[in-house]
Amino acid sequence: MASKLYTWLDSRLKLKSVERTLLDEPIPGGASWIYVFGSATLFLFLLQAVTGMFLAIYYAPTPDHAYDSIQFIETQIMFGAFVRGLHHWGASGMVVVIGLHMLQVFLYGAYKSPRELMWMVGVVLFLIVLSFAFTGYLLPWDQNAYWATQVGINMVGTVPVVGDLLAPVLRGGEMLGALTLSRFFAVHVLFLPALLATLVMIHLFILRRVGPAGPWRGGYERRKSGETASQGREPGSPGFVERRVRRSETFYPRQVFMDAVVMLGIFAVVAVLALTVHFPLADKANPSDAVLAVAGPEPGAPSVRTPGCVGHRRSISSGRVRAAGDFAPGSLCRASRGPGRGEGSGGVCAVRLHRLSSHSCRRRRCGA
Amino acid sequence: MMHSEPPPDDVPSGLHTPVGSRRSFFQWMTSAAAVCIGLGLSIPLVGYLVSPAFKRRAQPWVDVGAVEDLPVNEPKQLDYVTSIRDGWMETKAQKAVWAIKRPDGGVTVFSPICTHLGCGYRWEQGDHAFKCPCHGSVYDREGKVIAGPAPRKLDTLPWKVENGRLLVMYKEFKAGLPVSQEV
Ligand code: HEM
Ligand code: FES
Repeated sequence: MASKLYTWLDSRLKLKSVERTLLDEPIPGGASWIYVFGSATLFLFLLQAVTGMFLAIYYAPTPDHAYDSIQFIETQIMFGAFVRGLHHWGASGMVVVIGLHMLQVFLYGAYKSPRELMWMVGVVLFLIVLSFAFTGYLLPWDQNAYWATQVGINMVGTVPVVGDLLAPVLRGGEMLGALTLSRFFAVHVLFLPALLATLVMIHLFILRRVGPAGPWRGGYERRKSGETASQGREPGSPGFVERRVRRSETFYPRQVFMDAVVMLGIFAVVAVLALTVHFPLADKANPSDAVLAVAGPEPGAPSVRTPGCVGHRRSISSGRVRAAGDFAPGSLCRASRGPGRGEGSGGVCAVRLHRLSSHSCRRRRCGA
Repeated sequence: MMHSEPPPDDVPSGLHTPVGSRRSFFQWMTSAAAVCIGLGLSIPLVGYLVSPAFKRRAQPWVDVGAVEDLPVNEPKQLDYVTSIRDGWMETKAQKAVWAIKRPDGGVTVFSPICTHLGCGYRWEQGDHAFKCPCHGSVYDREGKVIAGPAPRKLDTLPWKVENGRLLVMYKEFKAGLPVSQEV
């Protein structure tokens, strides 16, 4: 039945030759587990795309509703926490796997001529993946998301010359708010995926034009002199043409098999993380909850301990506070009351300081 | 794009692609992995997609007023404010039902929605009839259809009286059917 349909389609669309082009690409040196990282990255991108589309079904990108809609997904929708978990851990996984991919390409020297273009497109892909991470992190609109993005944009603001222009453009104005959230959402779900998909196609197109680089070393030998066009030339000298005699094999079926096994492994790991490691939302983002101006100890600054931040050493230097009304002592470290986010609260505290006094901060080099 | 370069001269001699049962082993394992990922993903995603469709709204009793304020044999619109969970939003909505007290003390509470296609109807005092402005359905004070395209009598809502207060359970019904069917 299936083969009949295939024959029917093949007789019209000439699928056989497409199939041969796609699957019979020779891999110099043969299939290897070390080549799986590119396709593993691609798999994670597809997983992110699918889970992201489903998250978008219930997500509402406005400050009024973003947090509640995530809460709704977590608590009211069947498998909602699982789908969100897949997207969350898949995102981290993608950054890890793209790092491994770059490492492999680097160690194997696969970025060298004639594959420089792959590396360049790859660098852009890497930056896009990081932009995904940055824009996605704001979307739940909880305290962590809000203040981490505040810090991120302020860091952009410290870039010489263009920083002062770039930061408000990213933010959509002077204040991190509704405009920031909706542009981050649009970039995260529309602009970046379109860009990434296009560049991945270019990445793979180039790969098929230049062919894979092959093993680190060995796997081939030079033919006896007299057989090659580059006779008499030494490897590395200009005009040397490598005549490979490698134990090559086609992409299908063994490399496809390895790629598939790794994809399944990654899916299993991400799914288990999504099922077992819960990452609760912190409190809903509250721009006016200007809690505290505390950061790592600074020499000479008085050190305070506040009840909300037991165990954290806080130092307040009044000189760093620009808007004194922004933080009444009673509200110190309110953010750290959030559900079980010990490690996050310190970050929020530090963030707040940065926001209140980024100028003096920069001047005093207290470390953003 | 489908055109492939002529293979390097060494490839034909160097190909070690598996054949025979070794080849089918790899094919089979690849398909198995694909099926595992496919099922592991599609089952939760389908559940995720359809789950709100199977959520029953809680139907609490709402207080719509004192029974003694109802005139006898005279339909009265009772307004009340209810909070509606709309996904992640909690909104207050103004709702209304039509109630009519019988001489024996019993009450009939009508759903405020025309059984034809869902418009809101109103009581015409002069004609002693409920009239729908959309396509002209007319009901008498028992809810029976006396004119227009309405396929069935007005839908009635469960009610009870507690401490002199009339409590109603709001429901919605499918439009256009000859029998009353809750949605
Ligand atoms: C969304 C991100 C990316 C995807 C989906 C992707 C996908 C792939 C795939 C499927 C391959 C072929 C298999 C392999 O050799 O692993 C490949 C090869 C390659 N990628 Fe990527 N890649 C991504 C990011 C990057 C990055 C960040 C770099 C480097 C900056 C890079 C550089 C390369 C190079 C140089 C090759 C050729 C490797 C060889 O010939 O052996 N890629 N990529
Ligand atoms: S909806 Fe009332 S008559 Fe059509």
